[in-house]
Amino acid sequence: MQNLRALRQRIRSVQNTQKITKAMQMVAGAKLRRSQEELFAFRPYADRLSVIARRFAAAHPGFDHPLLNDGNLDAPAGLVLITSDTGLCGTYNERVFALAANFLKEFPSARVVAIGRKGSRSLIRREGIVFLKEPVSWGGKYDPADVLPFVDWMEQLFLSGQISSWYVAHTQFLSALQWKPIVPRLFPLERPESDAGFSEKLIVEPDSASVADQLLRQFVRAQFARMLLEAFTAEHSARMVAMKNATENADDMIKRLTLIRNKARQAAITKELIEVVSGAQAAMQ
Amino acid sequence: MANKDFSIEIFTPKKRIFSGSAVSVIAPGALGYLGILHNHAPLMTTLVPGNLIVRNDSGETTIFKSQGEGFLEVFHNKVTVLAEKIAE
Repeated sequence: MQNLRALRQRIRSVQNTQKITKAMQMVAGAKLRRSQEELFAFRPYADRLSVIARRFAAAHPGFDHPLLNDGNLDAPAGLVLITSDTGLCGTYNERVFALAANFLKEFPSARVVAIGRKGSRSLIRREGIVFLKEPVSWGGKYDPADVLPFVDWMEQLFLSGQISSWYVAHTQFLSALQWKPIVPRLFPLERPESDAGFSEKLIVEPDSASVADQLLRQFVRAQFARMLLEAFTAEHSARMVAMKNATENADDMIKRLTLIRNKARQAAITKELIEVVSGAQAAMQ
Repeated sequence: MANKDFSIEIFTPKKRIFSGSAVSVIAPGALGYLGILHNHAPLMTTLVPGNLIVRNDSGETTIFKSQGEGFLEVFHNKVTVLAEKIAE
């Protein structure tokens, strides 16, 4: 039978851990709500932008832009890896890593940039990975002031032919309990599908080249911003679920330990009784 | 007046800023301010920073200060503005 005092201490320590996991669950829940709101507010903007791009493509069949064409194919590919800054979020990071590892098998010469400290730490141990710059850490928050210069930097490397194409390994948010790691291509852009129902004359100001330029630049920014928002929302949801599981496990553990403790206590009482009774009997004889 | 108005929606990446009907919109286009009335021809233009003025059919005007780049599209009496940032 285990020592009673040790058992009590163990229960207390599990209870303390549970308090922490519960608090982390709540924090992740609040962050999840906030970034989910941000994501849902962002989607209509991105949707309108695609509608406009499709109409523009319909009015200008065969319009051309460097962002739509293959870059310098001799240059290495670029991979942006979006992971979390901190751990305790279940399999969230591992699943992105698995995808990135497959990607790097396919494009062994790819250059990597990590957003989120976890991504750089995991890849830094592998041989032959070339980082383009220091890992970026945005703490799971989307701020255009950080993100837009980053997109411009990617665009510049692509247009100057230093990077043949950019891919972004990140996690897509499906629901509060479901997410999926994906690695879509960002540069060159997919040509916007033209809106087949559109047949009117469209006035374009100041001219179609600059509208196309700005349209595509905003489009690429919106795409990247959306990936970040999806990834951050998924991160908070992953962390919330992981902490919820931890809290529930702690509950189970406390129940099990309490049972053992009670048994131990009863055994100790029984033992003492037996000692008293047998002592008394011995004295009577 | 009712047939002289059209719908307008203004979005930024952060949220939908405005949605409603208007009789006239004045927007800071790349070639200078432009006015939009009912039955405007389909138009697509880039916006520069400036004031976006929306007047509704009871004569009230609302001014939105657009900062950064933007887009304006007119299509079938529906105006869509996509601005990077709008100061409120």
